[in-house]
Amino acid sequence: MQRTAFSPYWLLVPALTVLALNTFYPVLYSVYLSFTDWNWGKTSNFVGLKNFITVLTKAQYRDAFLNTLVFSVSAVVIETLLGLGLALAINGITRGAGLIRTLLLLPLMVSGIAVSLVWKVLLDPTQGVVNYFLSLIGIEGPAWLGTVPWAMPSIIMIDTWWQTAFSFIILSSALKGLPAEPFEAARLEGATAWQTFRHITLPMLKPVLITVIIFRTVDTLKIFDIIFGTTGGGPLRATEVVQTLAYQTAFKFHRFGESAAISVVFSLIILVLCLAYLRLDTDEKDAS
Amino acid sequence: MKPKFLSHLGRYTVAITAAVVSFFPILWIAMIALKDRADAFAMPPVWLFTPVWEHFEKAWMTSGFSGAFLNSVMVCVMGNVLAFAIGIPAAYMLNQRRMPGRKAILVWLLISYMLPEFLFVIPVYVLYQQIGLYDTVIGLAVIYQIFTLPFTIWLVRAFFADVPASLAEAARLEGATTWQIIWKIYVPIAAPGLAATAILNAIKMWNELTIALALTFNNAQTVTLAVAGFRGYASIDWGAMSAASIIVILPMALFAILAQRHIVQGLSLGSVK
Amino acid sequence: MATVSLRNIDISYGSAKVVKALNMDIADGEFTVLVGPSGCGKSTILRLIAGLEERSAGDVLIDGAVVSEADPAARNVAMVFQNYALYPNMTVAENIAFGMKIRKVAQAKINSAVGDVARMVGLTDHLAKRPGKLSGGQRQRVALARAIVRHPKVFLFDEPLSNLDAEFRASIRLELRQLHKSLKSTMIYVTHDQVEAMTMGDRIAVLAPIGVNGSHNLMQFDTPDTIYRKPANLFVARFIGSPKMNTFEVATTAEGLSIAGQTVASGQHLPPKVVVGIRPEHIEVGGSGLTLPATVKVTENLGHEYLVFTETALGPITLRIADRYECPKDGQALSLSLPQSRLHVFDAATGARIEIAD
Repeated sequence: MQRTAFSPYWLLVPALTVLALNTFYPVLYSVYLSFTDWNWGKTSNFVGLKNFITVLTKAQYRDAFLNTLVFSVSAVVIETLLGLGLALAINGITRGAGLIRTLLLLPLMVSGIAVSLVWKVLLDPTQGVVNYFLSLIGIEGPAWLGTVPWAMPSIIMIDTWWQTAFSFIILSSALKGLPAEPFEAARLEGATAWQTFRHITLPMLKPVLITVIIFRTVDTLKIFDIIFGTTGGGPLRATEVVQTLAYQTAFKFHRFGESAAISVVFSLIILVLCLAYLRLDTDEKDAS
Repeated sequence: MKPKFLSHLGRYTVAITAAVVSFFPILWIAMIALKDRADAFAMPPVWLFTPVWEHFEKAWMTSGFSGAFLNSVMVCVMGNVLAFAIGIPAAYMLNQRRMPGRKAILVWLLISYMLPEFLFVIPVYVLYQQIGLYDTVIGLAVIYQIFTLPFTIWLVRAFFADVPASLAEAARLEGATTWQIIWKIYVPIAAPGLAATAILNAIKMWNELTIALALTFNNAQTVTLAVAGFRGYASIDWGAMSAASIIVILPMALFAILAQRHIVQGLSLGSVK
Repeated sequence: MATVSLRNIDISYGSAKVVKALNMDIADGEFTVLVGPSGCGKSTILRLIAGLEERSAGDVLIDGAVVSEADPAARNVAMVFQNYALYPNMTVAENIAFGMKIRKVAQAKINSAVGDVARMVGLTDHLAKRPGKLSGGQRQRVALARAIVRHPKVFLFDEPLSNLDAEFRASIRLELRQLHKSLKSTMIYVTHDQVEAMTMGDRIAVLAPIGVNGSHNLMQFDTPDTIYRKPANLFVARFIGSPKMNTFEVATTAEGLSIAGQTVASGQHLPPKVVVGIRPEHIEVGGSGLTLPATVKVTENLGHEYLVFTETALGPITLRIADRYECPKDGQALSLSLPQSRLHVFDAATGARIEIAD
């Protein structure tokens, strides 16, 4: 019912223009590219669905998608559980809370490249501190990032160290914001810690948990920095994921059309996830 | 009192362990940056040593590194200025409850924030080469709006939503224009939230790799890329590279220490609303 | 100072009609109260006059000029909001001066105006403070000062006292009345509290939600005295007065009303069913005339009087007994008498008042 003269629409125009230029142009261009065989040369021919077929069938791509999926699911599950556990455990602490939070926040502030460097040093088979500590308790540590079976788990571990703070901070804040009364009522009725968690805490955290999970899922699917900085996709493609493949296909092999096709397919998957999130979010809002 | 003590002990144990695990790797790299070459990778590790500063000197003096540092600072500042100049009025508009198309725009913001970088990188790479924005700081600041603008609008809108609508109405009655209401009333009130947003934006831009990798070469190289560049040498100078990493991490660590509360506020608001 | 007129106002939220066919004329310098339960549209009407709401039909006139399309700032009205709407980042002085600053008034003029107004509301010592450091009552005065300094044609108050502790409300009510006397401005005041309405208004507009009477909201617009003594319909009768007026349905005969076996003559033709009302304060214990046996269910001791809830053949009846009498006990039998001059009669179908000759 507000008069339209009240808030002039032109305030929104710059933002919408920038957004449109930044999204529509690249998206349309990428989609166009994905139908061509352009390789930075003079010629660019329309090749129909050839790139898409390659992307969806070639074994290398399938493996990369699979790796990405494995990484994403593992990382999200571990980080969410860890973040939740930390949030619950640390919630009651008052003294030193600021210091603890700052230290936990630190990994999140570091760039993916620096994280890669740090962990390459730590996970070095012979000169790395991790294997040293393991040797102190009698375990001979593997070559981590250099071995096929341990490379992906190492990446997962690195991402966990890097990003758990994200879910921790959000869940911790959400926990703090929960009303105290239901918990007091549960205490009066003699509920155990587990029962309180399962029947009161968890349901109240559900919307925030959904948000965290979706955000982290999309972010982990897009993983690039730490892989680029440590293994580059190796050894033997054990850590090759969608984004590293997209990068190589474009900037190493100059198959821009194919790279664009990867990005288009990938974007559709992410789009589906976003829409699923929005549906879940509105359902939550309707239910409450 | 026993169970309470145990639970407290348990909590502190968890907290301290997590803090140590978080901090140790960074500490380790800092130590490598400060140790001389012999000590750096000695096994078993050397815990007590006299710090040397040559690595830091070398890292900073390495051609292009200090320039890259400056570039990153400029990109962060420009990126924030752009995002705020465009995003604050937009956030105010999107906060009006009865604006048509509001929901569609918010969805659009979310999606553009979530899409993979390479979808944007290749077309923009081509475009920038043609219009001369390739390898420029301003070009980077503009393309960074892909994520800083939605993020800024998202957060600032949430902070504006906390301001009672009657303030805007009272100001309207007194004859204030929308522009005046935004900048004289809403922005000062939401200032802590805006600070949080600026900090989070800066962190993201500072650490960004993919887009910078594709769109810069020499002149506009960011400091994050410069660290990666240390790898290119025949034998890796771990000391210098570690020192370089610490230099890169330092501003962000400073943010974490000084602005921790703001960062937490920004992160949680971005997800809850 | 100005007159305010509303002509045939309709206001809708989406498809729901909130205000229908509203016609009101407020005289210059009058203190008008809009009162009614939630959903009756009183705040909406106030905001319409301010220009913060749109109407779907009708016109708003201030001082004879149609302002229905005019911008809020152009109407020269000032509003005191329920939550005061003070700018938290500015000092009291800056809050008051904000409007003048926007209009680029000279600083010297601003300073003297702020000083004058601060003196008027007693805020001179607080001019440099931020709203966060003030009490609720002080914040309210800042909101007031901000409105006064504009010298508006009309003052609008949107439930300004509802956020204050009860002890302050009475004193601020008094101050607002004195302010009205000294400024002599047209003031329109919205409240859901009928005590505020009765004590403050020159005239009261009692408003009901649309559902009560399908065709309009304004139930009565009169002086407090008239509204109390001659409520125009059942809604007004029940809304004003605490505790509520006792009402009961009564069948009519050719002679008049048949109440508890007795006939009350009325000088006219009555519809077959009417609702009779009598205020708790007008019922007497003992006495002659129209009598009604009652059994006491519960009593409440208010200190200066007792509220006695009884059960009678006509249904539950509440009455007030001054404390100089003894408080009746639960279960006690009383004989109530209802003075005929204090009876109100309403048409059972329309709710409209029926005047009966005494």
